Amino acid sequence: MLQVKNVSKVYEGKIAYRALSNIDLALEKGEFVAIMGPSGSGKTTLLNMVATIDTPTTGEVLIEGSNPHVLSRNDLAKFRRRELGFVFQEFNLLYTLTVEENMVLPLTLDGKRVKEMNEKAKTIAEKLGISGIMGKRVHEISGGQAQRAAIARAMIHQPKLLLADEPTGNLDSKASKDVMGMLETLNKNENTTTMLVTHDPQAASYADRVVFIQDGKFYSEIHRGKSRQTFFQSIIDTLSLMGGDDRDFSSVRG
Amino acid sequence: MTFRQFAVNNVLRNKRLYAAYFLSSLFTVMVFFTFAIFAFHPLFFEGDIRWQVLYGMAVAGGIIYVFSFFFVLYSMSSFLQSRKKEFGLLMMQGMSTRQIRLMVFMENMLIGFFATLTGILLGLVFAKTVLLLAENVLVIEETLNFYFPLWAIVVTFVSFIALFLLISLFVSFILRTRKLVDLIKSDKQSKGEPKASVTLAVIAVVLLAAGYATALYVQGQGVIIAMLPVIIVVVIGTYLLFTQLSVYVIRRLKGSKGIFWRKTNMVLFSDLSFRMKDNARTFFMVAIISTVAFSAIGTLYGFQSYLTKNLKEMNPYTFMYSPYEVEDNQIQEHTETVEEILNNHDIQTETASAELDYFEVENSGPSEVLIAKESEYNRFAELLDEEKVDAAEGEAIVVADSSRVLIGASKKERLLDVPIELTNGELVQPDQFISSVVMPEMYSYYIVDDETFEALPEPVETKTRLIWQPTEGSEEAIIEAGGILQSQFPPGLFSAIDYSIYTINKTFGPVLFIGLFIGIVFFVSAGSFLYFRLYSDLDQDKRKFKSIAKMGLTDKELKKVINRQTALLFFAPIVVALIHGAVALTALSNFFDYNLVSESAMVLGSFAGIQIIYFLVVRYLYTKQIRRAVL
Repeated sequence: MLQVKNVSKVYEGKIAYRALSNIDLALEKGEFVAIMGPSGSGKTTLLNMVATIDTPTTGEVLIEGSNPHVLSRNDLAKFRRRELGFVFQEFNLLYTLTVEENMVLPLTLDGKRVKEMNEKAKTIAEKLGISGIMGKRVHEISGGQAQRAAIARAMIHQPKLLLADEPTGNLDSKASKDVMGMLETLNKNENTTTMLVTHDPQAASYADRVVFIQDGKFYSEIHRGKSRQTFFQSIIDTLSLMGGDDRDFSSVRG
Repeated sequence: MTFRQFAVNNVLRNKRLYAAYFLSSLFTVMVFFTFAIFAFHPLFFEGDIRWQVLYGMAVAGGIIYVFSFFFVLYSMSSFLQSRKKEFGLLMMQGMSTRQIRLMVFMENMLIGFFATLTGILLGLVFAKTVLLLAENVLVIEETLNFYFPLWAIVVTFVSFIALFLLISLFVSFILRTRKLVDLIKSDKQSKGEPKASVTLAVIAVVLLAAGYATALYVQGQGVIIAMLPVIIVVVIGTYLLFTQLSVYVIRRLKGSKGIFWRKTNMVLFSDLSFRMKDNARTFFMVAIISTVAFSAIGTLYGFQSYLTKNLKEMNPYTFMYSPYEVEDNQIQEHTETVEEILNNHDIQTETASAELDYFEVENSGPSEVLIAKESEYNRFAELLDEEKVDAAEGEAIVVADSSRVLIGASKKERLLDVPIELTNGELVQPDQFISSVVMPEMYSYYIVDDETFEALPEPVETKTRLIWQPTEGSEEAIIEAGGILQSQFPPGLFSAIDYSIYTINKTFGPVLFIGLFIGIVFFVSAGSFLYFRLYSDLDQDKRKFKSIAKMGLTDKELKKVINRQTALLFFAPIVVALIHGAVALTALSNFFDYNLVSESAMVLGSFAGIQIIYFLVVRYLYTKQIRRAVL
């Protein structure tokens, strides 16, 4: 479904900096993949390329066989609002809008009918347990609620690909578990391909597969078996093998 | 939520962000509209005000409009810059460039429409106030009355809706970037420290020095020739001063740890250098605009004082009768008429008369020179409360030319070298040199003591002067009586100074008023520019001080940093403008050969005063906002 082919990213500047080199990655339809790596390893850069926020220097990204980076500006906008959902670490909700309005924004931009938007908002809010805060403004709700609202916004248009950048980075462990559980459920129930970038081994253990990258290069990957607990342990093991300091992967980012 | 609802909510629920932009737009409309009220005043179409004034109005209107355009464009672009992240997020949610443009267009038209409406309403109130003020301060009571300015409303409305339309179309230039990542991270990216080149910094100094030197050096007609090149050189110099020299100086200061790492300096300078890119442009514009305002007002005010001061110096007495080719019995008749009219107006006067004798003196410039009797001079001096003189026997006092005579200082003392020859062949040497307005005489003259006066040869010409100095009587009565008296006699025979000045003020009033008004408009716009600049950094400052406060920053230190930061912003461009203005007015006085020091000092001083008040108010508000965020 998603193919990342031989992608490299070089940041030009006084000293050119190679953030990613020759990354290959493929996601099946409905797969849930987590990308892990130490700070500065290039995982967010990789996600931004897939999200069409940033462009690769060489190589290409194919989503369902076509490369979104070659689309015209207008087609790209349509592609984003129909095919992609994005969850950020800082929630990035528009604070001028209510929770409900934030959720329906991608549909609004697409010019959908109000009735349809209301129905969809209601359905997804129930799934995520945020029906009670639909009328509230962003500054009135907690971090966990904000992230759930952001997930609702990312999922409301039933995207083919859901991208999450450190979605638990600003949350406590209880809220993290809730949010990750929801992402897992949505992934299974809606069959939405999901790509997650995280520092947090706990969060990564909800995925089907974890891909490790280091210094912009592919390091290794592990698949989840039956038990999430064993998967969590093997993630920790791999991280220590990578030579990184354990503290790099604490669930609260410094 | 439809797209339109979204755009409207976005504005209505985010008032504070839009407020700054709205207010600066509103302000611009108000200024333009108030100006339009005057420009379209019926007086200018039916009255006797010349076409030059109309032409001047059209030019000024054009300048204000162009200036408004750039001001709104600038406000708008910094407003949009601060919303880059929001646009990035919206694009992430799939908003197309077309939709962003549509949204910004709708917002802009919404803001523009309301700003225009409110601006016109407030402008009406403002204009009424200005007119009231003008009536009291300047003598233009019957001419500039308030009217319902239909034309002004139509013109302002159409011009500004067109302006906002045009500016909305500029949005695409600001949102050109295709890279979403730049937009989304824009709040975390620094705009970069501007770079300064030593060469350009030196050029800035050289250009300014050369411009100033030329402006101060040239005299008379040379001022006109030098004007344009000097203006160009100084404008370029000013630009480089703010974009290069200031950046260079800050860098040097930052380079020295002894200064940079001292107490709160680090916070201040690091901010300064990072904001200099934005500030430099604002500073440059403010400095130039203020210079224009200062020079315009200084010129007008100086010109008016030049006219009235001359008149006052030539006519130190309230009423003066100077018969010329008039029979003796007519003089008697005229005197009676004057007394009668003064009586009718309840004006009590002290009166004095004098025979002024003119003698032939060689090498004296004008061939006939007044020689005044000491006792007569002192009698007149007493009426004016001026100092009396005491000429010793066989000596003469030389009184300088009136300031209206445009000659060099050395020539003014020419009579000192010319002795007076008496009938007995003795020579009287002048030994004192004074300036005085006691005798209404244009050129330099002598005063001798009464005995020496008797020994003078026959005068070439004798002029009679009769003066009346009121001791009682209202100002209005004096002006009114003066008007009647001046029309009673052939021109030149009778002068009533208060009435003459009243007439000058009356004709010059509207011109001065409009000049002042335009100057003030420019100055206030410059102020709002600075205000806008300051407030666009408010959020950033709040965050900054919040994090510094966590490390421990006393209230006093916080105040100190804000104080210096605001003071620099408010005074850097104004000080430059004041210096520019002072140089320009000096050049102007060189051109007129008329001393404008007190007028310049007054104009520049009052602007500096207003700026200080403005600074204090803004600093108070800003400190309050920051402290509320920190505590």
